[in-house]
Amino acid sequence: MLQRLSPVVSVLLLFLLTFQLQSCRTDSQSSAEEVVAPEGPVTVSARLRGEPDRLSPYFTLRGFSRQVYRLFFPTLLDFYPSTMKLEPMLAKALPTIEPIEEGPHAGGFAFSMEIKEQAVWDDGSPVLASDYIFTLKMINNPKIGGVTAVYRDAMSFIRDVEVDPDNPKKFTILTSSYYIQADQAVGVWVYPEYAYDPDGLLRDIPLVDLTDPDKAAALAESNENLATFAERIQDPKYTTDKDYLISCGAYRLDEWEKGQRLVLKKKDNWWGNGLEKDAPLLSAYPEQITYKIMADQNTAVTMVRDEGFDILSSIPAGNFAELQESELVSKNFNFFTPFTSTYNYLGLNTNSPKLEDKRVRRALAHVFDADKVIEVVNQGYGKKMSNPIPDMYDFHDSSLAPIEFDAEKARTLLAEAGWEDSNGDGTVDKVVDGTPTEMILKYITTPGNTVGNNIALIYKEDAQKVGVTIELVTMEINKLMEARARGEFEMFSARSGLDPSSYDPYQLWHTASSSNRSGFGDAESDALIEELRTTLDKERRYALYKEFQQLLREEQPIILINLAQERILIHKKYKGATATVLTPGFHPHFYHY
Amino acid sequence: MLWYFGRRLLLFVPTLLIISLVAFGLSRLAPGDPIQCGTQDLLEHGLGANSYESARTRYREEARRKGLDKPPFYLAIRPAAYPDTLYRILERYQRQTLRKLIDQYGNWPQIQAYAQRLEDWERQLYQLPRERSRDAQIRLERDLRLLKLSYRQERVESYFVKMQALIEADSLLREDLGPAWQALREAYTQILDEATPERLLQPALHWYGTDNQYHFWLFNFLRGDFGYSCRNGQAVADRLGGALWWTLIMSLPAILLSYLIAVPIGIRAATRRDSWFDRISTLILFLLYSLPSFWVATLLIVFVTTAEYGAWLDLFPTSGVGELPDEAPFWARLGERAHHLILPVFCMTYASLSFISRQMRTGVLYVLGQDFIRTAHAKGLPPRRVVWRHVFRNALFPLITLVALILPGVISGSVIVELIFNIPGMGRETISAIQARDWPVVYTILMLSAILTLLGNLLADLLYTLADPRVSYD
Amino acid sequence: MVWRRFRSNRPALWSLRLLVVLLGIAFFADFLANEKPLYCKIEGKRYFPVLADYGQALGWTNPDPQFLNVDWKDLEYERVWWAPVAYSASTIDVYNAPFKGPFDRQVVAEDRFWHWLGTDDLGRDVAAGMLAGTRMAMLVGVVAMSVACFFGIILGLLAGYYGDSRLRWTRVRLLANGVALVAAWFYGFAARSYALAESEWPPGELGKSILLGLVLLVVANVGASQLERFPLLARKRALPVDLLVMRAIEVLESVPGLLFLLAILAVIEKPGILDVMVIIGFLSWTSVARFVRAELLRIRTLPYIEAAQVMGFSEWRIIWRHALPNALGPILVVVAFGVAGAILAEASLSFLGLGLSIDQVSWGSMINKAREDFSAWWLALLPGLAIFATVTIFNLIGDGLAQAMDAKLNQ
Repeated sequence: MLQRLSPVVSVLLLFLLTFQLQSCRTDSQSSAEEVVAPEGPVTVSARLRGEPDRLSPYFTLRGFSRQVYRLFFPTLLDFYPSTMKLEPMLAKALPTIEPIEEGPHAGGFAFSMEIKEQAVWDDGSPVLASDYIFTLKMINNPKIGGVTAVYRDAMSFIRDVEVDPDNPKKFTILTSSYYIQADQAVGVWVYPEYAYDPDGLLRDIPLVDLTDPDKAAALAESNENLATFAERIQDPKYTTDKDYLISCGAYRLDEWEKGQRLVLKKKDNWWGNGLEKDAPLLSAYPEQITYKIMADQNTAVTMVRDEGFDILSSIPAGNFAELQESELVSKNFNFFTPFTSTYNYLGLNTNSPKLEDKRVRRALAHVFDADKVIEVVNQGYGKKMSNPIPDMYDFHDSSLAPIEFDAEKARTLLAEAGWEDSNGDGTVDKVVDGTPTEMILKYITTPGNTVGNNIALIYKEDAQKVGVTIELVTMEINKLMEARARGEFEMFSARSGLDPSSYDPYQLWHTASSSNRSGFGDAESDALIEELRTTLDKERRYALYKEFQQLLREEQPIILINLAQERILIHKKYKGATATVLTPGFHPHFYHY
Repeated sequence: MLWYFGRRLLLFVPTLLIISLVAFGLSRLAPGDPIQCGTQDLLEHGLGANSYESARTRYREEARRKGLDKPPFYLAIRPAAYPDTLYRILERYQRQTLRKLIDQYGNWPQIQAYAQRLEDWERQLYQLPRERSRDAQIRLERDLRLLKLSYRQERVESYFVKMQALIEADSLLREDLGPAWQALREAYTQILDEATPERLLQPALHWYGTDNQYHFWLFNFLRGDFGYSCRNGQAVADRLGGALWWTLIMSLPAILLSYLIAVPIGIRAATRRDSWFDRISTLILFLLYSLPSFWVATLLIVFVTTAEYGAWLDLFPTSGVGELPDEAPFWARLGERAHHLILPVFCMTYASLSFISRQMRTGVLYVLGQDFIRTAHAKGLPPRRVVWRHVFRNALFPLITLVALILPGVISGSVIVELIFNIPGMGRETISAIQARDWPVVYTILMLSAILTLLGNLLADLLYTLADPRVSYD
Repeated sequence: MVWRRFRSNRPALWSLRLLVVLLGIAFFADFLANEKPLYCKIEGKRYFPVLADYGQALGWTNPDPQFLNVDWKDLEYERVWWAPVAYSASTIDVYNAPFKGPFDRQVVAEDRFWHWLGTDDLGRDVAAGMLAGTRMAMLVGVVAMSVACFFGIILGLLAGYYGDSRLRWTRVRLLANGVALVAAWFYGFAARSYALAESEWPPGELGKSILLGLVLLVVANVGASQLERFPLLARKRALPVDLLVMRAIEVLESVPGLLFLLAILAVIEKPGILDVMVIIGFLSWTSVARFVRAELLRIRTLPYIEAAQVMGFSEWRIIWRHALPNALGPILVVVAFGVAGAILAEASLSFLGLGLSIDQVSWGSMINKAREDFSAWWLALLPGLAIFATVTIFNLIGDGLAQAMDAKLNQ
């Protein structure tokens, strides 16, 4: 009958039909007393706030990409969300670590691991140590640049890998040194050699040659295979095309509609089925996981009302309160507000002549009212911190209390450091290097950083009361990076992620690290950090941690704002599903009805 | 007349070239480093000299891969003080710093020598064994990083003073680095002493030949190779193809609707001037114009897409473009897409209604005041006929101008509507490409919009002559 | 005459009055909404805190030390006159943050402190923000459109009236002007790039560059006039004005505005509100020029223009007194919407870090805030209404002007 109707009418009829179907659905939901799990296989849909760029782990650093690819690229070791402990995933057990006594790598450490015997690739062939070796060769190929080079640097402590002659799944990683996150760093993603290097271009090149920078440079010139392989692997299809993203994980990429959604389907007869009891990291209950891309917060919140997502995270505080009050939403969703492993802080440029004196920096910390800021800007979400090494770690120094808001103390400290208002204009000043300088601090930020900007506005008011003028300068992100590189700023706001298992002070606090934007550090602190990173002795390490925290407290290179708190909604139909501290706070592959 | 339009068509080519040149020039000015697009912090390096060298090599490699190590254009007209090899310095901030130094002192040979000494000094510093004088080393490295980016005299000299103090305080450093340090200071003093600012006033022409970035891009573009997005390596044509499709199916109905609604309203308002229709419609349309589109879009999403405020309001899908398997029949797919697009199209339509109707009204009012209209009325012609036959044709000019403006708008899309309704259209692509400095994508979008702009203008000029035969372009 | 006709148009007259009110608000905003008293008497001495602020801003006086960091509402006054709205636009009220609506329960000490129009995410009073924002809106709208109209009308007139073959210059003059333009670009901008980028006050340096360019052009033209005495060099050629102007418009419209803005960011270190206004004007002149040109294309063929030409009136007089008034209609519409458009554009520029710093409040910044918490409808509706009022006022005034200037429209 539809064929005989005019096209216009049939379109209209279809509109009406869809309308009817939708309203039917809502009606049946509202009459249900309890959330009954739907029939059929488990499906999960979650929101991504931005679009992934590439889905191959060694070619991207974006968080959104990571959320998606971790479902089909497993690592040897990973963190189990509820315990935050490192557990074996592809590996059979945690690596055993032993110092190397003799041989070319003497003085280093050996990590021995074995791959699970059940682990196989999609074509049925087993996952072997040779695949791990291939992966390392790929990373160390000097012809591959970009993000892979960043991984190369991070894993440059690995020198060679020896395979057990009797068991091709067993191997030992030889490294040049030990550092606290080494066990995590060696347990990375394994790429299939059969799929990414079918011609065996890298097979004849010994890994130990590639990990030596001089030899690698020489090989780059002499061996053409390196260049050919690099050309091939950097073809975009290897990072975005579902037929070329091959690994041994539970899921495969079924569909990627750019800008809209990514659909992951569970592989049939996956080798990990049934192993969840012994290796909980291998749990993969849903048959299908859909990630919908939605950057706009209001639209996302609205979609949740319609059950457009099963999981929603990164909900702004105002919307969260609204959702909690909504009957429609409370009926279907559970609300979680876990503390995360990221914290916000205000960075200070310790190299600026105005901020060189640590008393000045301490004064600035005293005039920052963290409680007020958390209450007003974050609506109470977030926890005040006393220390950049928070209490989630065993080695947190609880004797250091948070720095309280105390305007009097701030004034005294500034006066002690020689800053006084000599010209009556409301801002303290001092003669620095022969020129009279006013305490006008440049706070650089981007316009999109609403939370950081609001914090700055409140801080500006409080700071003015003790004579410190904060000048808020908004600039576009590239210009901001330039200003940062030139050191033309005094304050900035930033966020830092924390590793659940251990704390590596290198990135933020070592002078050679480019992420050390506050300019903190000297030879002594560097030595402290280097020793801390490489000590195997736990007692000694904890003592060093304590010393380091005291040092950070004394120097005051940053002002801590809060430990971030997430707001997540998870559908009630998933039994026992909770939010965790581990980013992003939810793990769809663990959920089941 | 035909010759005029023929000439106009011929002019397309040079105009497009000029547009591409302007865009090219602007893209070079915009802050941000295109070499690092799609990768991260290539110049970062860890501890040790090897790391430093390998970081530099990596950076150079990446620049070569992207073709950014070539000179920018065939030629350059610059003050004579500039060398013709400045493009070889790849790090953007460094190049800028050198340029500012040239702008102040005009003596490139001395500045080049200074830059060389700086590099030697840096290399020597990083090659020092780490255990010795570590504190001083760290401070020197830090000051050096900032010195490399300084060009104002007070700043440079303040860093010199600091570094001098550090070296003098440590005898080991004095031994190792003394000579290099001396050389560096002398080089800087030479710049100041032998300044030749007058060279800045002499223009000079440098010819680079065809191996330059612009030529490379142009050649490929003419062959149909639009390049690859530097963010994820995808071919630009693929990336934009989908976005273009979505934008077209939204903007074409939006434009059609806005004209179909606004033009009659404008005419009616003019013919019944100062009537309640004129006043009320004007006010309503002004009100619509004043409401920001993101707000109206969010309003619609919040209220008419869910059952939160009553099941009867759950009329439209919240976002996106709908998902249906490919096997679904054409009408079902059309229906699904249309259903998803009603709200976005509405948001794109309502804001332009007032401008169009207002222009129409003004044009019609003008014509109505003309003598020949009075004559037509006097002749006894029915008012309707008078309006549509005589008034409309003569009031067309502002409308035709609007057509010229609208044509490029067809593919530019609306960023806000696309972001809120999550439609992967051209507006979003343009903004995100510019923000990420993904120049291949930006240039392609630009050329596309340029061609449409030119066509729109040509069309408008053609329509002017059709509407009023007295118009001629000589 | 024109004024009398305008006056008889009641809507237009009322719009003009409202415009005056708006300008008044813009001027006196600090006296209408301020946390400081307008006048107070403490311990026998009289103070005028708001006026004192103006004095400090101009650099004439120094702040009074006893009032430096004091909380004005806590002082003991013998007599005090407060401003009608008890907050400045940027006063943060933590007790009423975030997003308290006009009808929500608010935490205030006295009735005077009630937020009649609600607050934003930091508790800043919306009424104060609207009043303070009027100043920015009027400035941006008027200045931006003035710049746009200046370039747009002149270039549109030239393109429409002269077309491609009506402006005839001698070859010498064409050459001289061409050379002068290139030299102006080179010596005014390319050779002065350091001064332009690094100066404390960019508009001053920019002014110098433009002046230099103008001087060069004048010299070139004077020189050409001298050389025109030689018959060999005095052969005339048509300067295709229409072609050049239209191509310039096409180039400007094809390149996305965002790109221009980014490039400008590179040159100007700290763009202020003045720069923003000029930039918005510079990006909008093309639409004005288009409409002007269209009208001129139609008008130049009209009989009375030809008559004026035959009668020997100077070109300038013809254009200015006969052609332009007839072309006003569409232009006024563009201008009226352009003012509102400029105000909205300022809001989107803030996304790039151009224009106002984040502690300044404008209508546009309030609209942006409404994005964050959608249920704070008052942050979108109220500035929206203000913009609505602005659009309506300018449109009606424009209408009235067009009507009053063209007798033919009076039916």
